[in-house]
Amino acid sequence: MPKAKLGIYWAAACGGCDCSILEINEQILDVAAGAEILLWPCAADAKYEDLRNYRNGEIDIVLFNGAIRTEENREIAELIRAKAKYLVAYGSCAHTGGVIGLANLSERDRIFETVYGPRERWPRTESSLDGCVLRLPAFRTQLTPLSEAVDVDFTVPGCPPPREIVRELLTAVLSGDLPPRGTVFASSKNLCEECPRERTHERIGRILRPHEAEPDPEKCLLDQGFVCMGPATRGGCGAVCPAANMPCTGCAGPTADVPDQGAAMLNTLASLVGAGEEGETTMADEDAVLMQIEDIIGTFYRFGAATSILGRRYRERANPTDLD
Amino acid sequence: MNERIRQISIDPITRLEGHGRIEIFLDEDGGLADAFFQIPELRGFEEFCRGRLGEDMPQITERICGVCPEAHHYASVKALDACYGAAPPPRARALRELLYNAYTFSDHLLHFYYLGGPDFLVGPYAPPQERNILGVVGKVGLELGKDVIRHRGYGQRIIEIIGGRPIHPVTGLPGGQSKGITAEERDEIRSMAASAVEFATATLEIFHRALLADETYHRFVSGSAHVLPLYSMGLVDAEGAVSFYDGDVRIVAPDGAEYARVAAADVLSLIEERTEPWTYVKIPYLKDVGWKGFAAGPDSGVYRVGPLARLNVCRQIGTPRAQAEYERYLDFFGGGPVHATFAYHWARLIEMLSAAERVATLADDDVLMSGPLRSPLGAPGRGVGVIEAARGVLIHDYDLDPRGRVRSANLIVATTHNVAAISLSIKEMAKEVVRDGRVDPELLNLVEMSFRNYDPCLACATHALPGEMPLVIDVRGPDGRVQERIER
Repeated sequence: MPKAKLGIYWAAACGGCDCSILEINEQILDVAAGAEILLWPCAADAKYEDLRNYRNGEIDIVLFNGAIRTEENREIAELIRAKAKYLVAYGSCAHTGGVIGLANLSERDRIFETVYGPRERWPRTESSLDGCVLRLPAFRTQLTPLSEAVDVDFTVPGCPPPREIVRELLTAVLSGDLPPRGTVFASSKNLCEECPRERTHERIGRILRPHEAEPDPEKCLLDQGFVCMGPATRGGCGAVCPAANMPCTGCAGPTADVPDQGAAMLNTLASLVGAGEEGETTMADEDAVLMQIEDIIGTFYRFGAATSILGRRYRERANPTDLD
Repeated sequence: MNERIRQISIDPITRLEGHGRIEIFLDEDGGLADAFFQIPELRGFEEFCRGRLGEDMPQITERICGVCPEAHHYASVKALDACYGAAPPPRARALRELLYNAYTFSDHLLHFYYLGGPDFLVGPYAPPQERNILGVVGKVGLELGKDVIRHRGYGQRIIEIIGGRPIHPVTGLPGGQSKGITAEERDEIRSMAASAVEFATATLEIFHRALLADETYHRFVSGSAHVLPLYSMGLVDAEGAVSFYDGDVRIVAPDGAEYARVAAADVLSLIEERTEPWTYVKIPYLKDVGWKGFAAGPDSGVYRVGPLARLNVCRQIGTPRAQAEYERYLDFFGGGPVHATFAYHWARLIEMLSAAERVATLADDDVLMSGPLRSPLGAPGRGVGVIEAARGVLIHDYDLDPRGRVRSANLIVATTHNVAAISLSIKEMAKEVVRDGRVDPELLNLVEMSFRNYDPCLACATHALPGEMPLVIDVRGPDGRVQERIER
């Protein structure tokens, strides 16, 4: 069997996805034996010039992590799409925009002001120093996931994707036995299905933040009042965060049947809060419980602000200047 | 590429974390006109961290860097300890330090075998498709290759046991840790640690055999061409030993004289930063020495951080095997401070051994197994957390509002400190490889080797506001309402 031609690329990313590939430990040697790596900036020396020189469709499969933040990210994504038979949106940033999608709540100019100060100090897309002309890729007004820039064949959720799922993906790549286009490498069910904690669907009378109380290690975190994103989040990781006594933060994105992760979570929470007897008289008290959630966006859309159906509508409300 | 050329791009630079490129310009006589180290990325953490919940910051800011998330996680957690006025109880502190030293071990291992080391282990002029970990495995043999992979896995496994996940850990909380470890897990850590100490020792033997005895490396590390007499900055403990998790900031001048020793939180007052229109990263320097352009020497405020700098600011390493190797290192250079840029590789491996020794010692301490995991918290406020990331001093500085939400977050990140020095190193090497208007493409890797010394993390580097203390001015109207808020 000919060696699979593999590419691994990062756009706007942290490098955690690249490292997650190393988490398969000794299996990386099988990858070395069974695949030829044509592109992997983190670990190998192919350059953009090499990428441009590959024939269209020459690379069998590219694992693409990171979101589309700069014009360079978009250009390289298009180039890779042309060169790759299969393209994988690998990890949260490529899948749903990731944590860095939270930047979509701010205007581009505001981001630059915060980072660089007054406008005259901002980096420029073109500048000249003693006749040396230097260019920087433009920072796009909005961050987008990979699928909004180019067609994507497979998705691997997670920040970063968990070890067993990476193994599954690479085994498929090496054998050439790929699943149908559109496959998501994760559980089709939510995280609660694989969580070791016992859920009793208790009514929540008070929202607790992780530093405010030590949770019972056996009981469901939601039952105890901690906002655990498990019910609205795709499983596949083995519920490692709840197992470590911390709530799920939703890195794997929404489950297959739900379009918006935050809305699904709000819906779940709204049905769980209780302030005594049921009925209209207690609705205001129940609202008060929900209002204890101090950072709606950062809690419900930690990894999905860029792909939320709420889109830009939250921008004004989330502007930190009204934090008084 | 042998025709006369005016500009050479290395794009992207590879075997590092994040996006970077190098632009080399030639003058009319075919010599080097200038060389630029550009960072073409920005994500904007400083902006979207505002408004988040303080306790979420360890898990948000670690997404700045997936190679060193542990550094951001614990710089953040330490900042939160300070915000809430809550030092972690001894058990939580020991768990954190244990995880942290495992991270330092694993991260330094990654650089030597996967990122920077292949240039020497495989060879600087080897075909580009072989200069990587797989080439290293081919060169050193499958058995040792498996050892490399296994021991990186050990470091990651310790992080997973204590941090809940091998990448992007979750267990750090203001004033403590969310969970302990079981007796079985502790036994597992102990046996991995013992093996890691031996592996780190063996790695130094490889360093002596394959690098120090190698003609190219020997020339780079002991010649005069790649020596930058710069200020050095790093953390030291009360005994003046290298300290990864906690300590004071010590800065020494190029001649080794102490320039400053301050509580970590006060380092912000010593640094100023500048922007350049051609890069998304900002460039810090020592304020009182001043910015004299990209220049070395005692009058230039450019300084370095990371393994080389840490070994320049410490008086000792703090663990026996690494101390012995440190003395060998000092003997080689005829005493410190060491300014040979290629000595970063050696310094890194000395630290890798020291980190492994510390993991072994910490794992033996029974404090890990009993006592509270959390301290009671005070009211939220301002707090600074400082830590030695593998690549150098990392500072998180938060201001929390009364409900524990982030009003401002100020991050001073390891690689950012080194940006000016990296630029100098690249230019120095470019001068060497540009000859009569010609550049042999094989030699371009030497230019990349000059930045790989620093193990730069460019995703980290673009997220910093060095020297800018958070400042918020509310302009209020006669009715007392805020009309305008000025922040920097």
